[in-house]
Amino acid sequence: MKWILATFIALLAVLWHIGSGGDRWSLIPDTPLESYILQQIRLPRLVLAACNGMALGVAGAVLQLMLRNPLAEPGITGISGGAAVATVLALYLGQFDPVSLGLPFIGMLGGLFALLCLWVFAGRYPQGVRIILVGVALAAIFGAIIAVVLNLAPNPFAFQEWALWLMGSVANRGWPYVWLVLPAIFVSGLILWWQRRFIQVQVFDEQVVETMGFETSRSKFMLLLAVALLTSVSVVSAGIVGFIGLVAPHLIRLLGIRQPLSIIAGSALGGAVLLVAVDALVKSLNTRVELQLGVVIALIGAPWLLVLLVRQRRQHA
Amino acid sequence: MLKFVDVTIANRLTSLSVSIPTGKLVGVVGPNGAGKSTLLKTIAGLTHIEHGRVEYEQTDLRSYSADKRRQLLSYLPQFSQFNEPVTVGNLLQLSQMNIRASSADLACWQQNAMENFELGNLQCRPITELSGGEQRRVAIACMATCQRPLMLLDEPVSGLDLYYQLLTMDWLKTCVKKGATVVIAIHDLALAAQYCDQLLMLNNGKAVAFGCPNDVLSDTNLAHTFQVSVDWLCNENGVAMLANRLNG
Repeated sequence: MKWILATFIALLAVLWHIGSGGDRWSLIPDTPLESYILQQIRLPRLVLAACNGMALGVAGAVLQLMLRNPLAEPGITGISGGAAVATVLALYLGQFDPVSLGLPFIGMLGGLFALLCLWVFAGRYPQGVRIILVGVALAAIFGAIIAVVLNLAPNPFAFQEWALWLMGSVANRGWPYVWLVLPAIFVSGLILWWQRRFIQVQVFDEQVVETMGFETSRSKFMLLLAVALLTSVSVVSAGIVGFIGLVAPHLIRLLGIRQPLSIIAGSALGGAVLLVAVDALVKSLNTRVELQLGVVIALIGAPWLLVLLVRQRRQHA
Repeated sequence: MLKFVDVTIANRLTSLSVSIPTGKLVGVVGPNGAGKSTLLKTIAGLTHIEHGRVEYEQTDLRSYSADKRRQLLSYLPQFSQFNEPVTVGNLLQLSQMNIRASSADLACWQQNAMENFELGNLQCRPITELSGGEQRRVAIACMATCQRPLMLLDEPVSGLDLYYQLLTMDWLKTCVKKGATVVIAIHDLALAAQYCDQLLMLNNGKAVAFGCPNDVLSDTNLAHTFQVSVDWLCNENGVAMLANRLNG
């Protein structure tokens, strides 16, 4: 029953997303112009939103399992901050045009650099808590750098453009961004499949896992690499979209899914549906300028986080 | 033979040299902070050895690959934590990850573990909904699903009621009879005296005594290490003790 309801909600979100955004809700184009809009604007936006939601949902689920922390999400690793810093710096230094396709690669390099920092500072055999602490420190540093670069923006227009990009959006991206995101999701999926046995035993204590025949250091790095790819590609294609990585795995757990691999698979679907639904909401809201995705998700996600914290406190009381 | 050769780990173990014979149930006793858990973690490869080495059958355990170590030993930490509310049945299955054995053997061990620790009625329950003692039983059963030649258990009976304490110790004895070497850290000296073939007494990271329980749990050793005096009550059914603080 839960699955039928989830599928129905997913279908509803897709239809809502494709049909919304114009003067009237319409699914089937009547004119060549409407057909063009559907194929070149609405469909890539839908697919990009779904891919981003999938990427962030999976990244969040993997981190929550690996770090054994229900509040973990891609932002706390500092990887999204690293990708954002690299992109904003590239724009500031004028090396890339905001619509250049070279820019996302710079952003991904930034994300991978953040992963390298995380690994070096967390130590060769990092425990979950250490990864979180180093990640939080890196996120703070990258956040400060972004603030400095925004402060030094050459003009108000550049400031506004960069700030809006950072707030996250999948509007006006087109198919090239979809083709950029899909390979990263595919490679991350392969890495996660390769490490599926290691993921499954994350239900046990960290010390027990270390005696279960895994090269734990290598496996942890591979999982973080998958998270870095997913997070970086999300940042470079849609800006910083928070909370999906936190909320999606918990939604899936609420459906009664307990197995680690199922939580990850479910979070992929849950994240995709969530982001598509929120983007459809953004498109549907009758505002003077379209609200940024990251802001709307934060408005929904932050109260969710508070609810989680209150629930956790009650459980421990 | 499991051999500690001059093992030093900063602030926890100091020049520890001891040889543990295979096929024995060896209890590690000592006051809090004596180095019992560290000793077990050292064998399991979970701590960095600053000086010395731990050998198993004349081979330095550090030279073992992760897979080889998995085939050799199983480890139960002092506190068992489970991070997702998976069912007990699923946990027992997952605990056999990377064990090289036929699927028939694995299924048999799983079934035996379930029966030995009387988990049949808990099989479909999420682990996080169980009591602390029940979780501990499941954690020990997870060890039982992958019978290894070397078993390391850090305070296996803590948190268990009397019935399951005895059941666990009986099971460990059975494992030893089948040829396994079992090393446990244990605080209950009466239980240690009753079940263990040999005891290693630690204090401040150093070996105070090693040998049969009668010798190790001498009045002098107990007074020196635990600052207690003990009266022992023994019959064919078991061992009990009455302890008094020396400075109390």
